Amino acid sequence: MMLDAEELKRNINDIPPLPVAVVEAMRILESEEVNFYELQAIITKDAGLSSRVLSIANSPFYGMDGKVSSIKESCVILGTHTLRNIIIAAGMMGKFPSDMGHLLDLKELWRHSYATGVAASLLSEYCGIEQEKAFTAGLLHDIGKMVLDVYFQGEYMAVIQYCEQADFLLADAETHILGVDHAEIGEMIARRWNLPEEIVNAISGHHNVSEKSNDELADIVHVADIVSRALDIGYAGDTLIPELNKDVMKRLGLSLEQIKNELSKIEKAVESAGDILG
Amino acid sequence: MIIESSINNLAPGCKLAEDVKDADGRMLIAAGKILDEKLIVILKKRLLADATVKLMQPLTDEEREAGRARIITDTEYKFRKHIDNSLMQEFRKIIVDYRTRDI
Repeated sequence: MMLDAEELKRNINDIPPLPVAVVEAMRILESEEVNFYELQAIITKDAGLSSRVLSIANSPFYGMDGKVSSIKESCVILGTHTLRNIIIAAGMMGKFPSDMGHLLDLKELWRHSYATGVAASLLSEYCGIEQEKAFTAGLLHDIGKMVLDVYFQGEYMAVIQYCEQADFLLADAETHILGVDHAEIGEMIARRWNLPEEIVNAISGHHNVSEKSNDELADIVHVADIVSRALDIGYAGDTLIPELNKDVMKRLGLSLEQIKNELSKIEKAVESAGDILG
Repeated sequence: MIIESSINNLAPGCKLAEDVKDADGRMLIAAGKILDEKLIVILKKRLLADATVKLMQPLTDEEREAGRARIITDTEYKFRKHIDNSLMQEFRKIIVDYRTRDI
């Protein structure tokens, strides 16, 4: 059941866009002089987005511990750069809420994704990569799976059956059955939704790391995904673990010992994430 | 398994199965806390003499061993495609050591 690439592109274009508030907020945060009043007005109009932004801003990852009580405050305390990352995360979580899953348990997939974001962020400290970017890239690395599960159920059923029968990674089963994997689908939707280019590249490159020698964000997400699976946090949709790429570890200058030092911090951060994950 | 114990029978090392609150409903010690001498003194001072608390029954040696074996098997299963890969096997050992550390 190979999907025709053109047909798939057309179908991806039929997926509803991100909510206006998310698009507008991203636009305002990209401008040189951010108008906080305008931003606050736009975000608060969308109650769902507004509450998700506040709950992420108050999550242990950002260290605010319940201190951020309004959108305007979150702009001032966290800064525009962080807020942009939070709005992207909130927008995506709103697009694929936990109860929307068909074949995959999206709550468990978001847990896996959150753990990957936390692991990417903690490990990026050893590699001189900006932590927030690593967190967002890790959090969104599997959106392609969510797109396939929510919008291409029939095709995805065949993928999941093949995955179990052939004892493959989900990504390999996707390529075998559909001709594309979730990383490519994730790239398409991330582009359609105008996510920042570096996040798009990390989403598209997290499995094909050997081909990309200069994308450190894809590299760190590749490692973080494997660490999150090894710790058994959430569920990525298959029972295997991808191979840790030696060249990636070398490129990042990362050792297993350093990964070992972060394991308990990753688990604790996910435990305390609480209701952000729905 | 959860057991109920009189506060007179508490010993250091017991793990609370439920939050302990005083007679007015104020939280004293949260569930999951492992009691030490100091906490036992606090409980005896703040609770009535005939009060009871809910404790987690300590694991038996067999249960501990079964828990360890389950983690080892689960992890090996997950790494089943990387039996000949030394980096992955080293990583698997780190994960098993980490996940069995408290058992």
